[in-house]
Amino acid sequence: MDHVLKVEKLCKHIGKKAIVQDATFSVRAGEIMGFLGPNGAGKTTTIKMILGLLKIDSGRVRIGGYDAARQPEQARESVGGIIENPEMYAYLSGRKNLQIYANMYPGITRARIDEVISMVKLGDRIDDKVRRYSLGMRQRLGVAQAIMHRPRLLILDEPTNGLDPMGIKELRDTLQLLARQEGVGVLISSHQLAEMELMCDRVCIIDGGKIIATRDLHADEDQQEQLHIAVKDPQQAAATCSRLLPDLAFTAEDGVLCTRCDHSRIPQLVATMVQAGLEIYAVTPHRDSLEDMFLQTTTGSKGQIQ
Amino acid sequence: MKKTASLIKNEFIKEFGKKSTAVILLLALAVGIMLPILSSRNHAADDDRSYLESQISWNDQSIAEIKQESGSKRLPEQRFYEIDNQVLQLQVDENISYSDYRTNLLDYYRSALLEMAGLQLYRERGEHYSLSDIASYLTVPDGIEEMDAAAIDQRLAQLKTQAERYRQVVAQNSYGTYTQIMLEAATEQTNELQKQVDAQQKLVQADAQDLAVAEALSSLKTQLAQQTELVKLYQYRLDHDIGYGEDDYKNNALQELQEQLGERYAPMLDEGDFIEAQKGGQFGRNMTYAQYQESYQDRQKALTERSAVLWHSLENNIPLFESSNKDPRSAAEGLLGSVAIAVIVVVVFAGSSVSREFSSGSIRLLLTRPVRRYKVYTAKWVTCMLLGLGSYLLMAIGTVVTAGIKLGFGGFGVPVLQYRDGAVEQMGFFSYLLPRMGYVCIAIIFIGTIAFFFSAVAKNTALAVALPTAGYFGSPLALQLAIMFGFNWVAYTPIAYMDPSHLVRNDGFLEQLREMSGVTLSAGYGAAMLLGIAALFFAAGMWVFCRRDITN
Repeated sequence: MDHVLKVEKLCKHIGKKAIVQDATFSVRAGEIMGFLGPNGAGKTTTIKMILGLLKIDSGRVRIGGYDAARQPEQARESVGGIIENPEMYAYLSGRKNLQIYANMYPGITRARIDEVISMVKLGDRIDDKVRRYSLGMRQRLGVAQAIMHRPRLLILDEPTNGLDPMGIKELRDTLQLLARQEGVGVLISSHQLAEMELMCDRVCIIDGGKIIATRDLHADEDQQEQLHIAVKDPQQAAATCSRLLPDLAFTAEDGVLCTRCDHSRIPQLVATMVQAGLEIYAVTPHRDSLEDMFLQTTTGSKGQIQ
Repeated sequence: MKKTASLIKNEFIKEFGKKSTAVILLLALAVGIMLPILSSRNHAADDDRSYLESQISWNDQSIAEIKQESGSKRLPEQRFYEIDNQVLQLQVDENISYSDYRTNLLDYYRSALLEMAGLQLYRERGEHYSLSDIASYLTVPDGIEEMDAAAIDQRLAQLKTQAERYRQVVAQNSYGTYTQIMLEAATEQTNELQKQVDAQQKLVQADAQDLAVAEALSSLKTQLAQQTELVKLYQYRLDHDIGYGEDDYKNNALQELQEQLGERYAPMLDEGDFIEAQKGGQFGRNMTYAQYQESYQDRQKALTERSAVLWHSLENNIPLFESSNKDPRSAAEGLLGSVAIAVIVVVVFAGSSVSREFSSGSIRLLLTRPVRRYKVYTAKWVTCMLLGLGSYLLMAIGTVVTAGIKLGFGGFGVPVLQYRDGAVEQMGFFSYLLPRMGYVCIAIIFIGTIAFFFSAVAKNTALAVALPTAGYFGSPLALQLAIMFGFNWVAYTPIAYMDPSHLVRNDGFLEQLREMSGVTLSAGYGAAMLLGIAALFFAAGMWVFCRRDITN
């Protein structure tokens, strides 16, 4: 699998405090990787190290195969980024700003700039000064400067800050288009867990400067499913089912019967329960939400390092 | 290289995207245009007129006040005010400004009138006022008490003729007559001195061992030589019908030759006298006698060379550009001093170049590009230097074009005279000026690089602009204070070289500094030091910029 970003044992200290410790993760081409963590976990620090804004104390970053420390110019040619709110030259027009950035890359034509402008839907305001832009427009201009040079890796740090639902949806559509159709790898950090769940293929969770979990959000068909079955008496049903199907574990939680089993065994389970005289009101597949997983794995803002 | 060129292009887009850049450059151009207009303006007589008129009315009041008193006790005082008004009125009527040569004559006129009044009042005196009353306000000749009526009358007649002559010369502005008067006075003094020399000569012959007498003779001979040369100058002026116009280069050349005489004929002090003069503060505390001797020799040599240049100018009818502020070359030469404007410009640009990217946050999107940081830094520095040097060029164009329009482009064709290898040489004006302008550009690069350093390291525009500006404009004072306290080593630091125009203009600064500290500034050393220090600051700033974490 083609990795556009490989981060290996990245470390950063400020004074004696370790801000990031041994961070290791990767982003594949065409995938959208979520980068989650509580405040102060080290997300922005890690991203800044990848983009070259902070010095790396130890560890390695490879972008598109290039070592970011030894071949910074080639590495950064392959990456586009937005860190928080993108600050540009407010007294210049959007177009002039893009031209300035385009001059720093080889081979970006006027046509490409126009293409990117229409992609982010700024065509009618592109010649206005950036100080007259709304937050959403600035964000879109930020996306434009990030994708202009056709990077293989896109890094976005809190890009949905200040965007309205329409703006968020547009951003999501753009990113998914880039990932699916152009094979761009996207690393996106955010607090909007619901949004991450919709957008990301995988997530990487950082807390206290350490990567503590990496999860694939697409459920595998063969994986076991968690089921919540609404019954009249969950306790009694749990006991009955445990007796009848001893290879499965049954618990009664929050007024429902809970169990895990293969997707293919669900009909058998339902038939067994009906035959045993249990009254079934609903059979609901349940997945841990990202929020659940997040809260389970992190310590919350208690882990904050500032 | 190509990337750096694109980066420089980007910096220009950023700078010219702001209206303030164009405004600053236009201001520099405007200053360049104003300089020749202001510098070729003469001191207007009207400025003095109101002062004179107020003096006259003040005198009138005093006169009225005295007249109200009974008796004539205060008559001498009254006469004094009346004479003063007579002279002032003449000055007002003839529109004579204080820079006019006739101011001298007005003084002589006043002196003659005061003596006349003194004699008249002495002749008519009663019990109302005594000789000392007269002498308090008016002039009385020595030995007046021994003079009889006939002698007094004779003297009065003499004075009357003199006074009338002065008045006429003033009223008719006949400079030839004035020169004649001065020549006569100078010739008379020469003859006097010759008599004294002859007398002293006899004394020496009488006693060859007496050192004091021999010294007195030598001193008299020097005075005689000086006076003879003064006569020669007046004669030349008379023979060539040279007036006293402020803008007449021949007049100015002769004036300078005349002013030079005192210094040229001043003998070198012996060690004892030197130490006395040093204690009196005339020379720097740490100056040695050997240094003084060397500086005296060099000064004499410089004066001789200057004298040769001035005579060459007179005899070949080649104006020296310093001799007239109606010479367009003079206005253009002023550019060597107005590099200070370009220094301000470069500090404004360099001081904000890096720091404003940090304060606005645009530094983040700038440094995540596939361009190494040192290229970004270098491109910004190059842009600032180009803007600073460009503003100087704009100013220069403004000055040269305006001077040409106002004072005539033909004036630029007159060659510059310089003393080289034992003779006076001619050089094209722009061949003279352009290398010197190149030299003073060192100030732009030096101060600009320091401002750029502070901008990059402190990330603070206000600091980056204020510190170098204060340093640049405060350095003359700092230098003076340091020399005053005897810290002569300061003359080897950038503080002494901060204004490089002193090294390429004849403004007397180098001589003064040498006199006060014994140190001679060297153009080569100054250039190497300033550029070397600039390179260090450039490198240090680059090191910090490339290494630092971008935390905002």
